Amino acid sequence: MFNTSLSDGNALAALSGQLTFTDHGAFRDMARHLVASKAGRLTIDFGGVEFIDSAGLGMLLLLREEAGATGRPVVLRNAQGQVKRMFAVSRFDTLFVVEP
Amino acid sequence: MRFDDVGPIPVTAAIANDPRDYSPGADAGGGFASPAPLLVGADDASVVIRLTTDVAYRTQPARSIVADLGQIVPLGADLAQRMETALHEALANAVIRGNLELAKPRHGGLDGYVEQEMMINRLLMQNPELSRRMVTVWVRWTETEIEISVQDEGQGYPARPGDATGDGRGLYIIRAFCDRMCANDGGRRLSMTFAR
Repeated sequence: MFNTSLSDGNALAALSGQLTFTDHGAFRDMARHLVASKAGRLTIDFGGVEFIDSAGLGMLLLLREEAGATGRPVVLRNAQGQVKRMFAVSRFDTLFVVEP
Repeated sequence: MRFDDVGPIPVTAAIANDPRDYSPGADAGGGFASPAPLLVGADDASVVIRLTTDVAYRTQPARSIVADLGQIVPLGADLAQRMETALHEALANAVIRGNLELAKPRHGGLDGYVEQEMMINRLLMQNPELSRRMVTVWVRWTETEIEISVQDEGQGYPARPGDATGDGRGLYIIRAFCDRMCANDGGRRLSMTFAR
């Protein structure tokens, strides 16, 4: 469901499939990878994600809290289709760095 | 035209057409607490679908329900996407808040939600009284509108939309993605109307 990589001060996780109410465990594992890194910004690539629900949005908000505790922004990149729409409806551009 | 609020979903007729036994301890055909979703009633302007809590949680069937509905009632891509998302949220509420009667974890961050997922899996495995509670999806349509109602069998809860960042996020999403939303039966039934 996710691959993580570290490069040039950026911790990157690429997600795929769906992010819904049965994915808290896998998401927590991914979040721990990102937060444990020394990277200055934590980036999640949504290019492979085709569906997210309100629980998935909640996971991102909790990651944002954890990253914010160490002063690091969370970047949401490459959202498509339904995911892009969910970010827009939820005004995530005001809470995260949303990149195309 | 608007749909009349005709009270309860006509599941009595639906149950009469459903040959399986959902009572605790019975094997309804798919092994413990896992009968497949079943279309139990249909006419030229409505369908009724019933699922156990267990099946609704594990299969997340909004996509397949909307795809099947699209075979009967033409849906554009935009409407199908909004409908799938809203129905998914309504089913999640019906299962977790409704039939399993769980509130959101108040503390513990991601750990709190991971623990709740483990608790849900234990309930579904070990508590047939809860896992066999039904979720009923009733879809009605006219030439101009489609209404989807989702009914659970829990104690009910106050269905108040929140905002995108706090409690009530699911209802916030539903309200944003449909054209009208209303809760009935003490929060046990949520109806969402979409313009065609």
